[in-house]
Amino acid sequence: MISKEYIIMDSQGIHARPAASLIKLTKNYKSTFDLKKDDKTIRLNSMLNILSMGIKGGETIAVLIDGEDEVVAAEAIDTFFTELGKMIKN
Amino acid sequence: MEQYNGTRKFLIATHGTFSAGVKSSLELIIGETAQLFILQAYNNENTSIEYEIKIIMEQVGEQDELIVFSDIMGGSVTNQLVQHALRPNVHIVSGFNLPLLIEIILGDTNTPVDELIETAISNAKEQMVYVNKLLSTPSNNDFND
Repeated sequence: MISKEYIIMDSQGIHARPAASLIKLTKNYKSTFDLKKDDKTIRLNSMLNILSMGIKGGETIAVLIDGEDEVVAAEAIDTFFTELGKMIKN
Repeated sequence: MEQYNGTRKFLIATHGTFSAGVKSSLELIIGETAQLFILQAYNNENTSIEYEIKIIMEQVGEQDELIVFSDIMGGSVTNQLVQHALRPNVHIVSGFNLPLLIEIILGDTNTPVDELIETAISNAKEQMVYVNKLLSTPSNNDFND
């Protein structure tokens, strides 16, 4: 399993459009994706799950990727957050 | 529930142009959706709802699944859909909202359709919120679009 942390730089946080894009991205891979903020973890298979996290600008999240294609999937997640102007923490 | 091996298709059916507007909002958020039909009832006085349903149903095979979103339970659009479209591979959800559409259309195609719909309805109901009341609670003073 690969864990990637990101600081959300967008002042709007993760809102509907990026959340929907993130869900669509995960559909391209066999791996499972979870999103963690503080002590709450949700499966990345629902836009409403993401919005329920209330992720705001400046907050740190982690994406956990697990599966046979986790390496390429993690690269895609990195690209996603980079293109959205988010800061990759590690 | 019987398994279908075809394509999962969607129909938004509303009084007037609401369905076209919702489709526009949907595409802004999730991009263009394949296999999405819209029905704008009473928008064209020369075409009956029954005929419009018939044209759409001709594009839904026996192995396809069709999830229909209608605007009002008990309204004429929903009633006509029940009368002319309902069959084992057709699932009608009335009183939809945009979050429900997104949840179902982006839902995992491997998830059984009844399970997908029931979970999405449960989650989408929570999106109907009196925001003023929410903001008056000190711990809930943020929201995103």
